[in-house]
Amino acid sequence: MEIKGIKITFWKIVGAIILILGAIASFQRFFYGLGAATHLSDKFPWGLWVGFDVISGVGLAAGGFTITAIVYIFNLKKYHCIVKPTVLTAFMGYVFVGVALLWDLGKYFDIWHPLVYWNHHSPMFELAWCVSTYTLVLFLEFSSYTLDKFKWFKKPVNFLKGIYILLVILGVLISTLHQSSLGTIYVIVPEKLYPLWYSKLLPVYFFFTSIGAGLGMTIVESYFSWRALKHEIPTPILANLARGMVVIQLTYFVAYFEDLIVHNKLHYLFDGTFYSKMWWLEFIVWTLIPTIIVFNKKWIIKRVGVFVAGFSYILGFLLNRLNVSTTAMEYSAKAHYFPSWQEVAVSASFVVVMFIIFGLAVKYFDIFEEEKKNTN
Amino acid sequence: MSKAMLIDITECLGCGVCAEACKKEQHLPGKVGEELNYENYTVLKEVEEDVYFRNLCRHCVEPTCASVCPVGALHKTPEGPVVYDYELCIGCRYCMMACPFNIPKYEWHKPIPRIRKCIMCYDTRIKKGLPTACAEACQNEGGGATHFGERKELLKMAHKRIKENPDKYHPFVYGEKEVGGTGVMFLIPKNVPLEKFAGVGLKRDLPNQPLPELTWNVLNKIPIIVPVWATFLTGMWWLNNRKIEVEENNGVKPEKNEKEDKNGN
Ligand code: SF4
Ligand code: SF4
Ligand code: SF4
Repeated sequence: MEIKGIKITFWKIVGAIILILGAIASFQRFFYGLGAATHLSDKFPWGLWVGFDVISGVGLAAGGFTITAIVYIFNLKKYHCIVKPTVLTAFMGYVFVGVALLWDLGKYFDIWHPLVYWNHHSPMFELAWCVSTYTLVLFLEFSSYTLDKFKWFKKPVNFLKGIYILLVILGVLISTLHQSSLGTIYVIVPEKLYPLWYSKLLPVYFFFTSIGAGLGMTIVESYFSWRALKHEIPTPILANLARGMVVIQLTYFVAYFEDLIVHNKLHYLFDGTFYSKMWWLEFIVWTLIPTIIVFNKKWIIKRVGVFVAGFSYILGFLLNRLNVSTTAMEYSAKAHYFPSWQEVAVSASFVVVMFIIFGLAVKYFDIFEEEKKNTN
Repeated sequence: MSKAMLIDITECLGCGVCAEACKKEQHLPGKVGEELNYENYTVLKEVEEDVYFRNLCRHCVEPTCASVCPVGALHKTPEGPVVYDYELCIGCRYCMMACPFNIPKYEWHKPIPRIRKCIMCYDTRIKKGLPTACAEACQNEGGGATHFGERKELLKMAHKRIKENPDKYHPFVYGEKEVGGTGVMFLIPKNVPLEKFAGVGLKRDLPNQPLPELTWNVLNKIPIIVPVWATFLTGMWWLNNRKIEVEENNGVKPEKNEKEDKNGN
């Protein structure tokens, strides 16, 4: 118990420091501009706040549509116990993406413009629409099983429960569109993106791997709620998610690798450049490690094994999205980009805030099944 | 009907009157600089001794910047210039990231920044039927390298020059075909290798296909995919729920899922 107590305080201190740094960085950003707070420049206009907060953030929140599809459309009811926490994190993830965008947009107060001034040729426009509507869908999904605590909401909540399957299908549709749009953003820069990452199929890759990220994030989250909040999700359930995650990843990887062969890009893998090294790192962390763990019968039945597979996958996923948005763009920008401490502090602050909100939500809403049974 | 500029690099003296005229016309702060940025819409680069390349927005026939802008803050006018509307812009910088010539620049030092780029003197000159300030200055006070006119006419003139002096020019007009054609085009002196220009702004690896087509080929699939995907998902839902119903009717408990657990245990 004592060790636990110290540990929690330690993380609280770390969290507080990050939040303070984030506040200072935000002050600089909003009063002195992006130039003062970031390492962005005319040569390198998109950095961590796009690559991590938006491109990766949306991907990591894919658990919402993945798990609801598994449970409600494919009717694998045994995964029902992870629906609520996953939908909650997805909802928070999307809100976080929207809020984080305020830091990155030069005219943040005009963030609503894409909803009014349309340019349907722009993948960013599509992204804006999908992210806003999907956040609403997630909000409704989440309300349908949290708000019935309150008498006033009984009727609307019953209505939401009635149309729940519609919400789920709508959510999957919108997610398909915007998860792939994140890749479409980069389709228009064929000569700027490093050949190892450019493909006309980027939208397909991005959609496919977002499913893997959704499953991986569910595993990682349940690790945290197990460590911090003592909510246990049966290991076999998580192990199956990890298996699904790896099957999807391997399918993606074969398609991706075929594309490399067809376009004669294999030599880029062995030319020893910075890019090839980043590619190998991405491959090992994202594809190789999770695959080895999942196919090892001894490792995958252990809680730790499942978590390591999930962690590795998520790390690799992050690496991939940052490689596309940063490493691969450096090639043509002929500029080196490394985020400033302010950029890191702001992104980290959002992660801390999410942890806090998640903890509070777990306390105040019945988001874990077991709890509900106890109170009944 | 599309206004354009042709820059014959062999005629450029490197005097820089174009850049100065632009500063005045567009009320840009500061002195003429070396790189395009928020206070320079056009700059000269010395490629080698006495050979200068002038960089500026190319006013693409199918502009990438306008295609990617989520709010349509950049658009191509019927007269040819690609112009910017600050009121609409949200400052996302997708235009900067996507422009194949890296033209749009940003006011990084300001809390509320604008995108800055050459607008071909749209409001002050093109609309009134006047030539651009830089072209006028170049013709009157400079070497006369920048020619202003209809895109078609300029292309004719350029090809005529190449034909008459095949030893003087590389045998093509830069900007005639690149990314579907641009409104600012260049004649390049033959005695300078093309690679030298590639580094300063005349990229050689651009496709002739307009880049907006690449994204449009993806986005226009959406109306096709949505109904198909929706039908499939709804069908799967119906199928999977029915299976359980049928099994229950036959007295089988829907325990299919439990079986998989055994693998895990
Ligand atoms: S050169 Fe760049 S900024 Fe100019 S019109 Fe073309 S895409 Fe737009
Ligand atoms: S920065 Fe402004 S002009 Fe450029 S793409 Fe974004 S909204 Fe459009
Ligand atoms: S066309 Fe006008 S805005 Fe563009 S560089 Fe020339 S003077 Fe400047």
